[in-house]
Amino acid sequence: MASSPTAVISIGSKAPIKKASGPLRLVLTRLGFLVSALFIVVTLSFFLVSVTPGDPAQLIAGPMATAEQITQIRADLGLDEPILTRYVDYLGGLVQGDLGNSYFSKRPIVDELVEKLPATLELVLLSVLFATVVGVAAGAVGAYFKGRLPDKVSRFVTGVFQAIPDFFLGLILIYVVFFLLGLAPAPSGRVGLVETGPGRVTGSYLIDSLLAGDFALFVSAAHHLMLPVLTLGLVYAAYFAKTARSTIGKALNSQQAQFARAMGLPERTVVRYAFAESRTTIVTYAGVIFASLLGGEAIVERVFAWNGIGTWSLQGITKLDLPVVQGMVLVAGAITLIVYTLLDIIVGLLDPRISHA
Amino acid sequence: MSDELVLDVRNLAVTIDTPDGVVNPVRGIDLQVHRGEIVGIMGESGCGKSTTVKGILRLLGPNSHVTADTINLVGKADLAHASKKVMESIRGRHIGFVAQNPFGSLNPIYSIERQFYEVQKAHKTGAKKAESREIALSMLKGVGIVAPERVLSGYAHQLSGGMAQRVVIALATTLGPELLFADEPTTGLDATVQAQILDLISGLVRTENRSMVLVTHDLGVIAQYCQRAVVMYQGEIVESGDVMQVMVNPQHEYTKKLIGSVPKAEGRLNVAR
Repeated sequence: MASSPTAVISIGSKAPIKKASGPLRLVLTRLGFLVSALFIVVTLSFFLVSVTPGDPAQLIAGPMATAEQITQIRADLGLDEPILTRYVDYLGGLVQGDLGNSYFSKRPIVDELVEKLPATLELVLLSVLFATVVGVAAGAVGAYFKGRLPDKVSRFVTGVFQAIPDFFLGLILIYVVFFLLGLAPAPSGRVGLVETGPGRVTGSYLIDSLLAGDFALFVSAAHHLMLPVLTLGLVYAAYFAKTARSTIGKALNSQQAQFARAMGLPERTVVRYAFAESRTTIVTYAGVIFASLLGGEAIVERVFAWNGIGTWSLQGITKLDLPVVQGMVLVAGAITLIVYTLLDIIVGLLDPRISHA
Repeated sequence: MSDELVLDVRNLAVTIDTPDGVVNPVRGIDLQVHRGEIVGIMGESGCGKSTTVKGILRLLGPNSHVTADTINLVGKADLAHASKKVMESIRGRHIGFVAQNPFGSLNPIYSIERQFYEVQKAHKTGAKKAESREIALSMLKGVGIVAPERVLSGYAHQLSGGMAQRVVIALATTLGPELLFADEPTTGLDATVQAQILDLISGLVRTENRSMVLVTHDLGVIAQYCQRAVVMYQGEIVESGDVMQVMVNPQHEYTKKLIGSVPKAEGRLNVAR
């Protein structure tokens, strides 16, 4: 052999150090970002809701109230104070973990969140999981059989579900699966009307009912989750299918796939390579959809009488219930940023090309 | 070079179904490769030289069809009529393939070590991970990589272009194929690295008495490394023969033009003056 390499390459010299401290440093910088971002968001929404026309006191008092009553309510809520004083008060409470009380239910926001957030998390988490599995499977089939019958079927079904608004699909599912077929329970929330939820441990009815050993309640909870999860899951599966079809399709036709085939690797290995190459895109997509669904699925919660933060915040906004809106903004913002930080860590672990420098 | 045939292709044609109808990018190709021989396929881009090579390996997309009277990989199989399973066992094991742009060839997600192991697994060589690592180490040394351990545990993006192509060559030859297809193996690499890679790959072929089909548009490369040259034009072979004969005394009009189009230092100086 005539050649002799002249340069010694220096690979991997930085990699091990990066791997050890990368995620930790990322979390710390994101934490700082989280606090300042939440501060800005909370401030913005505080003033925005405060200057919105309409008087919560009047809404609470009702149409028959006298002017004195309204004044009294305003004084009780502290609404007669100047806006800056209220803002400083609010921030002061916030620092101590006090998000204030709802104007209407009078209950602490923290209590309401603890009660309602798990319902939404359970629903959204399962929906995104369902959407990922079903969507990626449909997309992979489409990519592999590109242009042929399975692809055409997959694309048609995907197109249909993408075109249906989620709440409308919910109504159709209620009509067909509950009313006509009787396969699902009535849309009465997380459990039946006469049932009560399990003792609270994690807030997830599925987990808590199992922990309590109440198997009948577990089945009921799972049964009640079926339609809302199907509703959100099918609509978002369509989006996943579209993304998966294009990314997996691209990976299957890449030069890398061609070289793998040229090395004699069997087709299933080539498909596995393609999955590996598209998994970062799909995981990112799942994270983004998860974050946007938190509260973004409010209408579907309404349709299924789901007592989660979507319904809660929707009511808060229509009633100008400032502490509720603020609580929602805080929680949704915090969870979104946490999810994105987790995403960055996961994607970094899945793809060696990405470093958190 | 001997008279022993390694590959005998007769009347190869490729058809591709497109939405606008059927296209025939390659027609009536006859190609013989002997043991120890390096055959160069030259021609302008789009003339079908890559398609020919990929057609023989059946690496073209699902919309394309390869037909031939025979694609005889002597002593192994007739690839014109081989099943998918047989093709998978031939590729990598009996015919190696090196493409241009090594970063496109290597898997970006898996370590280099893992990619060597996948090859062992695919061909059921029975090599365990440790054994596969040993083989990979010696292959990497064989292609002139100085720190093979480091390369092995690293990823494609950490390599330079020349290093990456060396890794690709090591992968492609790891099971000792008798025949190597190199499809523009140095396109996109630095000029100095190009020569190193071509020296390396032709050296590997010569020392082991293997054969190679080298696809390139670079006539200088053909003249320097190949014994026989095949000239393709618009999907057909217009001329083939001993490389010196083709270069010095081209018969076909296209070959004459092709060789005439090579810029000469002399001519440039005249223009400058």
